[in-house]
Amino acid sequence: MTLEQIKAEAELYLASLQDEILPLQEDYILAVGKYWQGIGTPNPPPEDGAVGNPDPDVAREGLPSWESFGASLPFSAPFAVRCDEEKWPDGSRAFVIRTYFGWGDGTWTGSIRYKGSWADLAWEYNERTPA
Amino acid sequence: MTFDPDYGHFQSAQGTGRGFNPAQGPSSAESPFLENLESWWKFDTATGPFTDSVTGTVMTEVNTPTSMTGVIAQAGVVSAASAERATTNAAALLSDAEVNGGSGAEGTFTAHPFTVAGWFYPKNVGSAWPFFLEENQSTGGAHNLNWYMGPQYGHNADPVQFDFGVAGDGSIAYVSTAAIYAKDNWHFVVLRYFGCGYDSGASPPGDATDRRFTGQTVNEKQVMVVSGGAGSGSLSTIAYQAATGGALEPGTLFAMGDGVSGNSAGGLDLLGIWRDRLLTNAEILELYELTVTGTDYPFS
Repeated sequence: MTLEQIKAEAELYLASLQDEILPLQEDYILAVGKYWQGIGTPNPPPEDGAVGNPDPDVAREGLPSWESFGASLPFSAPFAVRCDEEKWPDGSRAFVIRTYFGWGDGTWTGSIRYKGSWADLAWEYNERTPA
Repeated sequence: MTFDPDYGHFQSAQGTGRGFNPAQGPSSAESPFLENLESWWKFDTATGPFTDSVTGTVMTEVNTPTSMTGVIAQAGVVSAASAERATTNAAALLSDAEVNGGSGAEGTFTAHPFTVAGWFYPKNVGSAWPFFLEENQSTGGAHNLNWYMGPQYGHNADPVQFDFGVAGDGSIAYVSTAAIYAKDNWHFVVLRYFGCGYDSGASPPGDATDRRFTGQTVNEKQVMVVSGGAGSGSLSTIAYQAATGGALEPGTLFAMGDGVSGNSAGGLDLLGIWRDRLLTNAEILELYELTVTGTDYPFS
Protein backbone atom coordinates (compact mmCIF):
# COMPACT_ATOMS: atom_id res chain seq x y z
CA MET A 1 0.00 0.00 0.00
CA THR A 2 1.16 3.49 -0.67
CA LEU A 3 1.33 6.14 2.02
CA GLU A 4 -1.62 7.93 0.46
CA GLN A 5 -3.71 4.76 0.46
CA ILE A 6 -3.01 4.11 4.13
CA LYS A 7 -3.88 7.68 5.07
CA ALA A 8 -7.09 7.54 3.05
CA GLU A 9 -8.14 4.30 4.74
CA ALA A 10 -7.35 5.75 8.15
CA GLU A 11 -9.35 8.89 7.44
CA LEU A 12 -12.37 6.84 6.40
CA TYR A 13 -12.17 4.92 9.65
CA LEU A 14 -11.73 8.07 11.74
CA ALA A 15 -14.81 9.62 10.13
CA SER A 16 -16.93 6.60 11.03
CA LEU A 17 -15.48 6.41 14.54
CA GLN A 18 -16.26 10.09 15.13
CA ASP A 19 -19.95 9.48 14.60
CA GLU A 20 -19.95 6.34 16.69
CA ILE A 21 -17.84 7.42 19.63
CA LEU A 22 -19.24 10.87 20.43
CA PRO A 23 -22.54 9.74 21.99
CA LEU A 24 -20.70 6.99 23.85
CA GLN A 25 -18.20 9.49 25.25
CA GLU A 26 -20.94 11.93 26.22
CA ASP A 27 -22.69 9.23 28.20
CA TYR A 28 -19.40 8.13 29.75
CA ILE A 29 -18.32 11.56 30.95
CA LEU A 30 -21.71 12.11 32.54
CA ALA A 31 -21.28 8.89 34.48
CA VAL A 32 -17.55 8.98 35.26
CA GLY A 33 -16.53 12.64 35.08
CA LYS A 34 -13.98 12.19 32.34
CA TYR A 35 -13.81 10.74 28.87
CA TRP A 36 -12.95 7.12 28.21
CA GLN A 37 -9.42 6.15 27.19
CA GLY A 38 -8.94 3.51 24.52
CA ILE A 39 -5.58 1.75 24.65
CA GLY A 40 -3.66 1.74 21.38
CA THR A 41 -4.04 -1.43 19.34
CA PRO A 42 -2.39 -3.32 17.74
CA ASN A 43 0.84 -2.80 19.61
CA PRO A 44 3.32 -2.37 18.04
CA PRO A 45 1.52 -0.57 15.23
CA PRO A 46 1.71 -1.85 11.64
CA GLU A 47 4.63 -0.63 9.58
CA ASP A 48 5.14 0.29 5.95
CA GLY A 49 1.77 -0.87 4.70
CA ALA A 50 1.65 -4.21 6.49
CA VAL A 51 -1.75 -5.08 7.91
CA GLY A 52 -2.41 -5.61 11.61
CA ASN A 53 -5.36 -6.79 13.63
CA PRO A 54 -6.60 -4.42 16.36
CA ASP A 55 -7.67 -6.23 19.52
CA PRO A 56 -11.11 -5.13 20.76
CA ASP A 57 -10.44 -6.65 24.19
CA VAL A 58 -7.49 -4.43 25.18
CA ALA A 59 -8.24 -2.01 27.99
CA ARG A 60 -6.53 0.17 30.49
CA GLU A 61 -6.78 -1.43 33.92
CA GLY A 62 -10.14 -0.58 35.41
CA LEU A 63 -11.62 0.80 32.19
CA PRO A 64 -13.88 -0.80 29.58
CA SER A 65 -12.27 -2.40 26.55
CA TRP A 66 -13.04 -1.10 23.07
CA GLU A 67 -15.66 -3.77 22.66
CA SER A 68 -17.36 -3.31 26.02
CA PHE A 69 -17.30 0.46 25.55
CA GLY A 70 -19.01 -0.02 22.21
CA ALA A 71 -16.44 1.51 19.88
CA SER A 72 -15.78 -0.46 16.72
CA LEU A 73 -12.30 -1.35 15.58
CA PRO A 74 -11.43 -2.52 12.06
CA PHE A 75 -10.85 -6.27 11.86
CA SER A 76 -7.65 -5.59 9.97
CA ALA A 77 -5.96 -2.34 9.03
CA PRO A 78 -2.55 -0.92 8.06
CA PHE A 79 -2.69 1.35 11.10
CA ALA A 80 -3.24 1.24 14.86
CA VAL A 81 -5.93 3.12 16.76
CA ARG A 82 -6.14 4.76 20.15
CA CYS A 83 -8.25 7.27 22.05
CA ASP A 84 -6.62 9.64 24.56
CA GLU A 85 -8.57 11.58 27.17
CA GLU A 86 -7.41 15.00 28.35
CA LYS A 87 -7.91 17.34 31.29
CA TRP A 88 -7.01 20.90 30.28
CA PRO A 89 -5.58 23.55 32.65
CA ASP A 90 -9.00 25.22 32.95
CA GLY A 91 -10.50 21.90 34.03
CA SER A 92 -12.30 21.28 30.73
CA ARG A 93 -12.22 17.83 29.19
CA ALA A 94 -11.38 16.59 25.72
CA PHE A 95 -10.56 13.40 23.89
CA VAL A 96 -8.46 12.68 20.80
CA ILE A 97 -8.84 9.72 18.47
CA ARG A 98 -5.69 8.77 16.64
CA THR A 99 -4.64 6.42 13.87
CA TYR A 100 -0.92 5.79 13.53
CA PHE A 101 1.51 3.56 11.69
CA GLY A 102 5.22 3.13 11.16
CA TRP A 103 6.62 4.48 7.94
CA GLY A 104 10.34 4.44 7.23
CA ASP A 105 12.21 5.65 10.28
CA GLY A 106 9.22 7.24 11.95
CA THR A 107 5.53 7.22 12.66
CA TRP A 108 2.65 8.92 10.88
CA THR A 109 -0.18 9.96 13.18
CA GLY A 110 -3.58 11.28 12.11
CA SER A 111 -5.56 12.76 14.97
CA ILE A 112 -8.77 14.59 15.61
CA ARG A 113 -9.73 16.19 18.94
CA TYR A 114 -13.18 16.70 20.43
CA LYS A 115 -13.29 19.59 22.89
CA GLY A 116 -16.88 20.74 22.77
CA SER A 117 -16.70 20.40 18.99
CA TRP A 118 -14.53 18.51 16.56
CA ALA A 119 -11.29 20.11 15.41
CA ASP A 120 -9.86 19.46 11.96
CA LEU A 121 -8.02 16.24 11.25
CA ALA A 122 -4.25 16.72 11.39
CA TRP A 123 -1.43 14.46 10.21
CA GLU A 124 2.12 14.62 11.52
CA TYR A 125 5.26 12.58 11.00
CA ASN A 126 7.72 11.98 13.82
CA GLU A 127 10.99 10.16 13.59
CA ARG A 128 11.87 8.32 16.73
CA THR A 129 14.96 8.21 18.86
CA PRO A 130 17.88 6.24 17.48
CA ALA A 131 18.19 2.55 18.19
CA MET B 1 22.99 51.37 60.31
CA THR B 2 22.68 53.20 56.96
CA PHE B 3 19.75 54.26 54.83
CA ASP B 4 19.54 52.44 51.50
CA PRO B 5 17.75 54.75 49.04
CA ASP B 6 17.44 51.97 46.49
CA TYR B 7 15.14 50.03 48.77
CA GLY B 8 13.77 52.77 51.04
CA HIS B 9 14.82 51.27 54.32
CA PHE B 10 17.66 51.16 56.74
CA GLN B 11 20.26 48.45 56.59
CA SER B 12 22.23 46.96 59.40
CA ALA B 13 25.96 46.61 59.15
CA GLN B 14 25.29 43.13 57.82
CA GLY B 15 23.19 44.50 54.97
CA THR B 16 19.88 43.19 56.25
CA GLY B 17 16.79 45.41 56.35
CA ARG B 18 15.99 47.12 59.65
CA GLY B 19 12.94 48.93 60.94
CA PHE B 20 10.31 46.63 59.46
CA ASN B 21 9.12 43.24 60.53
CA PRO B 22 9.25 41.35 58.28
CA ALA B 23 12.26 43.06 56.80
CA GLN B 24 11.62 45.02 53.57
CA GLY B 25 13.84 45.22 50.51
CA PRO B 26 16.11 42.57 49.04
CA SER B 27 16.10 39.29 50.85
CA SER B 28 19.48 38.09 51.97
CA ALA B 29 18.02 34.59 52.17
CA GLU B 30 16.99 34.20 48.53
CA SER B 31 18.43 31.02 47.11
CA PRO B 32 20.94 31.27 44.25
CA PHE B 33 19.01 28.43 42.63
CA LEU B 34 16.20 30.85 41.82
CA GLU B 35 18.38 32.71 39.30
CA ASN B 36 17.24 31.84 35.75
CA LEU B 37 15.05 29.07 37.14
CA GLU B 38 12.43 28.76 34.42
CA SER B 39 10.24 26.13 36.04
CA TRP B 40 10.12 23.88 39.08
CA TRP B 41 7.78 20.96 39.44
CA LYS B 42 6.90 19.50 42.84
CA PHE B 43 4.29 17.02 41.54
CA ASP B 44 2.47 17.30 44.87
CA THR B 45 -1.24 16.70 44.92
CA ALA B 46 -1.71 19.69 47.22
CA THR B 47 -0.20 22.16 44.75
CA GLY B 48 -1.47 20.41 41.65
CA PRO B 49 0.50 17.45 40.35
CA PHE B 50 1.54 19.10 37.10
CA THR B 51 1.70 22.75 38.16
CA ASP B 52 4.88 24.78 37.72
CA SER B 53 5.82 26.52 40.96
CA VAL B 54 7.62 29.37 39.17
CA THR B 55 5.08 30.51 36.58
CA GLY B 56 1.95 28.85 37.92
CA THR B 57 1.48 27.10 34.58
CA VAL B 58 -0.82 24.08 34.76
CA MET B 59 -0.17 21.34 32.23
CA THR B 60 -2.83 19.47 30.30
CA GLU B 61 -3.11 15.97 31.73
CA VAL B 62 -3.47 13.27 29.09
CA ASN B 63 -4.82 9.85 30.04
CA THR B 64 -4.84 10.64 33.76
CA PRO B 65 -1.23 10.49 34.98
CA THR B 66 -1.05 8.99 38.45
CA SER B 67 0.96 9.72 41.60
CA MET B 68 3.37 7.80 43.76
CA THR B 69 5.39 8.52 46.88
CA GLY B 70 8.15 10.89 45.88
CA VAL B 71 11.46 12.11 47.24
CA ILE B 72 9.45 14.84 48.95
CA ALA B 73 5.68 14.27 49.28
CA GLN B 74 4.18 12.98 46.00
CA ALA B 75 5.70 12.35 42.58
CA GLY B 76 4.09 12.25 39.15
CA VAL B 77 3.98 9.02 37.16
CA VAL B 78 4.00 9.20 33.37
CA SER B 79 3.93 6.73 30.49
CA ALA B 80 3.19 3.76 32.70
CA ALA B 81 2.05 1.59 29.79
CA SER B 82 -1.08 3.66 29.09
CA ALA B 83 0.50 6.74 27.49
CA GLU B 84 -0.15 8.94 30.52
CA ARG B 85 1.54 12.29 30.11
CA ALA B 86 1.25 16.00 30.73
CA THR B 87 1.78 18.70 28.11
CA THR B 88 1.92 22.46 27.81
CA ASN B 89 2.39 24.97 25.03
CA ALA B 90 2.96 27.87 27.44
CA ALA B 91 5.57 30.08 25.77
CA ALA B 92 7.34 30.75 29.06
CA LEU B 93 8.28 27.08 29.30
CA LEU B 94 9.50 26.56 25.74
CA SER B 95 12.88 27.01 24.09
CA ASP B 96 13.65 30.11 22.11
CA ALA B 97 15.29 29.61 18.74
CA GLU B 98 19.04 29.47 18.55
CA VAL B 99 20.98 30.89 15.60
CA ASN B 100 23.69 28.80 14.00
CA GLY B 101 26.20 31.28 12.64
CA GLY B 102 27.73 28.72 10.30
CA SER B 103 31.39 29.47 9.75
CA GLY B 104 31.00 32.86 11.37
CA ALA B 105 32.53 34.11 14.58
CA GLU B 106 30.95 33.95 18.03
CA GLY B 107 28.83 37.05 17.54
CA THR B 108 26.94 35.43 14.67
CA PHE B 109 25.63 32.67 16.96
CA THR B 110 22.77 32.88 19.41
CA ALA B 111 22.90 30.07 21.97
CA HIS B 112 20.45 29.17 24.71
CA PRO B 113 22.15 26.76 27.09
CA PHE B 114 19.99 25.10 29.71
CA THR B 115 20.14 22.75 32.67
CA VAL B 116 17.57 20.16 33.70
CA ALA B 117 17.86 18.54 37.11
CA GLY B 118 15.42 16.25 38.82
CA TRP B 119 14.58 12.91 40.34
CA PHE B 120 13.56 10.07 38.04
CA TYR B 121 12.18 6.65 38.92
CA PRO B 122 12.37 4.35 35.87
CA LYS B 123 9.80 1.61 35.79
CA ASN B 124 9.25 -1.22 33.35
CA VAL B 125 10.63 0.04 30.08
CA GLY B 126 8.97 -1.10 26.89
CA SER B 127 10.56 -2.23 23.69
CA ALA B 128 10.99 1.28 22.35
CA TRP B 129 12.58 4.39 23.83
CA PRO B 130 10.12 6.17 26.05
CA PHE B 131 10.51 9.80 27.01
CA PHE B 132 10.41 11.23 30.48
CA LEU B 133 10.74 14.72 29.01
CA GLU B 134 10.20 15.92 25.47
CA GLU B 135 10.07 19.26 23.71
CA ASN B 136 8.65 19.40 20.23
CA GLN B 137 9.25 21.92 17.50
CA SER B 138 7.65 22.23 14.11
CA THR B 139 9.96 24.35 12.02
CA GLY B 140 13.06 22.28 11.39
CA GLY B 141 14.32 18.73 11.11
CA ALA B 142 12.29 15.64 10.41
CA HIS B 143 11.76 14.64 14.01
CA ASN B 144 9.54 17.48 15.18
CA LEU B 145 11.74 17.15 18.24
CA ASN B 146 13.82 19.83 19.95
CA TRP B 147 15.21 17.78 22.83
CA TYR B 148 14.30 14.78 24.94
CA MET B 149 15.34 12.79 27.99
CA GLY B 150 14.41 9.20 28.74
CA PRO B 151 15.58 5.78 29.84
CA GLN B 152 17.18 3.52 27.28
CA TYR B 153 17.49 -0.27 27.16
CA GLY B 154 16.46 -2.12 30.26
CA HIS B 155 13.72 -4.33 28.88
CA ASN B 156 11.91 -6.26 31.55
CA ALA B 157 13.83 -6.19 34.83
CA ASP B 158 17.12 -4.88 33.47
CA PRO B 159 18.61 -1.60 34.65
CA VAL B 160 18.56 1.46 32.43
CA GLN B 161 20.72 4.19 31.06
CA PHE B 162 19.42 7.75 30.89
CA ASP B 163 19.57 9.44 27.49
CA PHE B 164 19.66 13.11 26.63
CA GLY B 165 19.20 14.03 23.00
CA VAL B 166 18.91 17.22 21.00
CA ALA B 167 17.58 17.47 17.46
CA GLY B 168 16.48 21.02 16.77
CA ASP B 169 17.07 21.82 13.13
CA GLY B 170 19.23 18.73 12.54
CA SER B 171 19.39 15.02 13.20
CA ILE B 172 19.02 13.66 16.70
CA ALA B 173 22.34 13.59 18.55
CA TYR B 174 22.21 11.98 21.95
CA VAL B 175 24.32 10.81 24.85
CA SER B 176 23.68 8.04 27.38
CA THR B 177 24.86 7.83 30.97
CA ALA B 178 28.11 5.97 31.30
CA ALA B 179 26.64 3.60 33.88
CA ILE B 180 23.36 1.73 34.21
CA TYR B 181 20.86 2.37 36.99
CA ALA B 182 18.36 0.14 38.74
CA LYS B 183 14.69 0.38 38.00
CA ASP B 184 12.20 1.05 40.75
CA ASN B 185 14.65 3.39 42.45
CA TRP B 186 14.99 7.16 42.52
CA HIS B 187 17.94 8.69 40.65
CA PHE B 188 18.99 12.34 40.56
CA VAL B 189 19.71 13.01 36.89
CA VAL B 190 21.11 16.21 35.43
CA LEU B 191 21.25 17.38 31.80
CA ARG B 192 23.43 20.24 30.61
CA TYR B 193 23.10 21.69 27.12
CA PHE B 194 25.92 24.09 26.31
CA GLY B 195 24.17 25.69 23.34
CA CYS B 196 24.64 25.91 19.61
CA GLY B 197 28.33 26.49 18.87
CA TYR B 198 29.56 25.81 22.40
CA ASP B 199 31.27 23.01 24.29
CA SER B 200 32.69 22.49 27.76
CA GLY B 201 36.30 23.32 27.05
CA ALA B 202 39.36 21.85 25.43
CA SER B 203 39.07 18.57 27.33
CA PRO B 204 35.40 17.73 27.55
CA PRO B 205 33.50 16.90 29.59
CA GLY B 206 34.31 20.08 31.42
CA ASP B 207 32.36 21.98 34.02
CA ALA B 208 29.84 24.71 33.28
CA THR B 209 32.55 27.26 33.99
CA ASP B 210 34.65 25.81 31.15
CA ARG B 211 32.05 26.69 28.51
CA ARG B 212 33.61 28.15 25.39
CA PHE B 213 32.67 29.05 21.83
CA THR B 214 33.80 26.43 19.34
CA GLY B 215 31.77 26.85 16.16
CA GLN B 216 29.12 25.37 13.95
CA THR B 217 29.79 21.67 14.38
CA VAL B 218 29.30 21.64 18.13
CA ASN B 219 26.51 21.83 20.69
CA GLU B 220 27.69 19.83 23.68
CA LYS B 221 25.20 17.75 25.64
CA GLN B 222 26.00 16.23 29.02
CA VAL B 223 24.13 13.79 31.24
CA MET B 224 25.14 12.79 34.75
CA VAL B 225 23.71 11.19 37.87
CA VAL B 226 24.33 12.01 41.52
CA SER B 227 24.39 9.03 43.87
CA GLY B 228 24.92 8.56 47.58
CA GLY B 229 23.09 9.51 50.69
CA ALA B 230 22.63 12.83 52.41
CA GLY B 231 26.00 14.45 52.93
CA SER B 232 27.80 12.01 50.64
CA GLY B 233 26.48 12.71 47.16
CA SER B 234 28.93 12.16 44.36
CA LEU B 235 28.74 12.96 40.69
CA SER B 236 28.92 10.12 38.19
CA THR B 237 31.16 10.20 35.16
CA ILE B 238 29.81 12.98 32.99
CA ALA B 239 28.76 11.45 29.69
CA TYR B 240 28.93 13.93 26.83
CA GLN B 241 28.42 14.32 23.13
CA ALA B 242 29.97 17.39 21.59
CA ALA B 243 29.85 16.97 17.83
CA THR B 244 26.94 16.96 15.39
CA GLY B 245 25.79 20.38 16.44
CA GLY B 246 22.45 21.76 15.47
CA ALA B 247 20.40 24.64 16.76
CA LEU B 248 17.28 24.59 18.90
CA GLU B 249 14.13 25.65 17.10
CA PRO B 250 11.30 27.53 18.80
CA GLY B 251 9.62 24.99 21.08
CA THR B 252 5.96 24.24 20.40
CA LEU B 253 5.09 21.73 23.11
CA PHE B 254 6.76 20.58 26.32
CA ALA B 255 5.71 17.16 27.58
CA MET B 256 6.40 14.93 30.53
CA GLY B 257 5.79 11.37 29.41
CA ASP B 258 5.62 9.68 26.06
CA GLY B 259 2.71 9.84 23.68
CA VAL B 260 3.41 6.33 22.45
CA SER B 261 1.20 3.74 24.09
CA GLY B 262 2.82 0.64 25.47
CA ASN B 263 6.06 2.21 26.60
CA SER B 264 6.87 2.94 30.21
CA ALA B 265 8.84 5.70 31.83
CA GLY B 266 8.02 6.04 35.52
CA GLY B 267 8.13 8.63 38.29
CA LEU B 268 9.22 12.27 38.27
CA ASP B 269 9.87 14.50 41.26
CA LEU B 270 11.50 17.83 42.14
CA LEU B 271 12.27 18.78 38.57
CA GLY B 272 13.85 22.10 37.63
CA ILE B 273 14.80 23.72 34.34
CA TRP B 274 17.25 26.61 34.23
CA ARG B 275 17.26 28.53 30.96
CA ASP B 276 20.40 30.34 29.82
CA ARG B 277 22.16 29.00 32.88
CA LEU B 278 24.38 25.98 33.35
CA LEU B 279 24.58 24.74 36.91
CA THR B 280 28.14 23.95 37.91
CA ASN B 281 29.17 20.57 39.26
CA ALA B 282 29.32 22.07 42.76
CA GLU B 283 25.84 23.56 42.39
CA ILE B 284 24.48 20.21 41.19
CA LEU B 285 25.83 18.51 44.28
CA GLU B 286 24.41 21.28 46.46
CA LEU B 287 20.98 20.96 44.84
CA TYR B 288 21.09 17.21 45.33
CA GLU B 289 21.92 17.76 48.98
CA LEU B 290 19.03 20.19 49.38
CA THR B 291 16.44 17.90 47.85
CA VAL B 292 17.66 14.71 49.47
CA THR B 293 17.43 16.40 52.86
CA GLY B 294 13.88 17.60 52.22
CA THR B 295 14.30 21.17 50.96
CA ASP B 296 11.97 22.00 48.09
CA TYR B 297 11.34 25.17 46.06
CA PRO B 298 12.04 28.02 46.90
CA PHE B 299 15.02 26.32 48.55
CA SER B 300 14.98 28.24 51.81
